[in-house]
Amino acid sequence: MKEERFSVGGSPLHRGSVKLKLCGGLLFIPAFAITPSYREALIFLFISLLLTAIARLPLKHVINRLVLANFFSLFLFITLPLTYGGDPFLIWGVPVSKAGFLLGGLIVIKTNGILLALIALLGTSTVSSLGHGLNALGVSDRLTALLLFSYRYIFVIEQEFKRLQRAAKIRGFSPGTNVHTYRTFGYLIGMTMVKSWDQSQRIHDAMVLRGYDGQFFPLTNPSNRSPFDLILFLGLVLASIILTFLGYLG
Amino acid sequence: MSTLLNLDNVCFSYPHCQPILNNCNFSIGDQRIGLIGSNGSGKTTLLKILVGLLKPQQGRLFHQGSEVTSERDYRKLRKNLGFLFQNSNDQLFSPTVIEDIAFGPLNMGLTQDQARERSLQILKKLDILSLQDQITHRLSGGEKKLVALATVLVMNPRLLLLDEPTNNLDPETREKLTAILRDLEIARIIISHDWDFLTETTDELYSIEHGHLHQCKDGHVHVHQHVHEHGDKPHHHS
Repeated sequence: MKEERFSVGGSPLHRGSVKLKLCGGLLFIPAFAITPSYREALIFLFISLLLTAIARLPLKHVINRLVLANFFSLFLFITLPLTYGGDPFLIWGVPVSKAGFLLGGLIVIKTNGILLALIALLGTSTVSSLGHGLNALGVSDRLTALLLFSYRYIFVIEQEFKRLQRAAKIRGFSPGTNVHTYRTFGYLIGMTMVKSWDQSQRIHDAMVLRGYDGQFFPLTNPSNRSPFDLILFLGLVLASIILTFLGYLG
Repeated sequence: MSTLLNLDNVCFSYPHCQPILNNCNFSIGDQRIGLIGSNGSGKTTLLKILVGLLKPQQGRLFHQGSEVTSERDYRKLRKNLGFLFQNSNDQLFSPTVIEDIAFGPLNMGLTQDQARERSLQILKKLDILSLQDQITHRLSGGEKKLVALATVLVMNPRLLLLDEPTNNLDPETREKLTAILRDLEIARIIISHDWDFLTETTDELYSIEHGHLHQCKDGHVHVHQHVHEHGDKPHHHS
């Protein structure tokens, strides 16, 4: 969850304009998701792979992410052929639906492709710059602030919880299936919430002392849009539109 | 000496507790004050009343001679004060250091460029320019403290209120903080249990006892350690 592992790097995608990456991604990913046919899906997948290559991401970590997501699609890939209707064929005497098999395959391609595109387009920016990008695209100040604050304090809250958990552990607490365990976890979670509430009050105080009166003015980075950004954006838009048309009409 | 802040017979108590400030009188202009007292004696409460995070239940607070009552008065007052919290995590809420430091100047109505410029200046002054793009929650405790000080100094306060600034600092950062505060010519109230630190960064010493503020008269009391040839034997000091 926590480390922004893919956000560090020197590729054009890391340096690129967050706004354009967000816009391009917002069109590309739904278009990929709704495409009905294999041919277009494979082209989409190819584009995703290309983006991953441009981003020069650490392969090992990317594969780790994909493995995690594929547990889910593997489950679909196994159950769909067995449950989907249509004309069946036999594998080791078991009737398997061809349509289900093909659908499962399509889902696997889409899952991996969309994940790769997400990592390459959005994972290459920090959460903070994504927040500002969304803000620049018209997401309200309040929602942007909410996103940035959640991200800033989720670690602090996690640390707080772990600290309490350790405190319980060194006093001999080992979780089991009993009322004592449930009660202790109740206390830990309750205590974490109380502490977080207190802290949010102190943070609000700190903000008020520095002149905050309900309006949030984030410091924005000077925009550094390069030709690459525009080409990438136009490429994603064109690919999405053309492939969607081909998928439904061709 | 012109008086910046003035407390007139201020009382304050938390629910179900003894009064923590009891007819407290105090004024500060451009002094450098150290504030001592045992835990729970009301030191932090006093600072919070001075900045308006807590309101006096009795008595009055004056800012440059006029009484502070409305939220607008408090807003004006807070522009002159810089409050450094005990826990830097409460103070650094923006994703990156530079954004956090620019938060105050932007609230004061500066443009993006001016805010950035001023934030960079203060980082340079504190010799932490290299931290500008760091993610705030990944800083070390010492770095967080210095950045938090920068977020306060960037507002050009006339009075600094520091709540136990040397707590949990390693000796190196403590030295750095001491040097910075020693060279700054801003009035201050510093709460601390760190005597050597107070000796270096303040000129007067006050203590809070039983809800009252007393100035410790005989110069600046301080304690320090040194090798003593009779240290391990019972002996008398003349």
